[in-house]
Amino acid sequence: MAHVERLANVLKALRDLKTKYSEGRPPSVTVGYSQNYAVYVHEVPANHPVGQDKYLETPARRLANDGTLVGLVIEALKRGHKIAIGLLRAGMRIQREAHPLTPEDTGALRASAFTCYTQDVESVAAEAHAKGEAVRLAKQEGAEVMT
Amino acid sequence: MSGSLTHSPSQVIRQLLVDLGHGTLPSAAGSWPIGVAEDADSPPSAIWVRGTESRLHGRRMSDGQYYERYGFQVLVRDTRYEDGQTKARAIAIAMDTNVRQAAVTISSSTYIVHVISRSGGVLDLGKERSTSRHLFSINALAAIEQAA
Repeated sequence: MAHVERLANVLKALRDLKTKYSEGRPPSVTVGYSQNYAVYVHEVPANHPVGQDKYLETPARRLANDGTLVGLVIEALKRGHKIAIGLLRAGMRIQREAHPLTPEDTGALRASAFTCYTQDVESVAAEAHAKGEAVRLAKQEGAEVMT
Repeated sequence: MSGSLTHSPSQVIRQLLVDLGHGTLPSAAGSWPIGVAEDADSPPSAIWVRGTESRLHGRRMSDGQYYERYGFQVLVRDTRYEDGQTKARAIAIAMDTNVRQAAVTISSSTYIVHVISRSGGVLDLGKERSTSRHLFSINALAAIEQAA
């Protein structure tokens, strides 16, 4: 049977790293859109004058494939931050890349985008939904809105 | 897996679903026709498969090719919510449990679908805006290799 020397030391080093870079339960970040038609627009193929369907999935996979998301987490760790911070930055990058791909009509969908720790998603999504609705109403009233 | 495919991943998945008994080729004029890339307006009960962004999982040292899982989406449409939901759910379960090294033949080409990994549950998309037919989607990744 193979003998692994100093295995206890390796395990201790891994536990120390976990303590250093994570906190409490495993971190989780959510990126999303809170308009109630967001999933329909995301999933159903359509020719949009501006943007496309799969406006969130496409950039998320591309950024995962080219190593950008992992790179952002590693960069955060190297700067002494916790993994959660790295994940948040990765999520914000996805949101930023998704912005130009998000179909635009009134601007409400784009304005309803959010990134947050998953434990905060209810309150943050509600805020984002309110922001999206405000943009939609402003557009209906003829105001110019920057999204 | 990676490497070139004679047919698109969507065509392979469509044939797989036909082989598993979840639909028919449009040319067969049977129930639950399964289209690729675009849906036909009729019949109202229909399925179509389209490609989405793939996921890359490392590279082979021997030749540099990426291990790629092809992204795809299955869309199910029906005038009755219950029928559409049941069909979508059946397809999702079949992809989970009935696909292990599944051989698929299209014309003279043979493919192996090693495994399908869903990226989430069956999404209830509500109704088509123009027709009020119910829509459901399933998103997944497939490891596909051309065997011949």
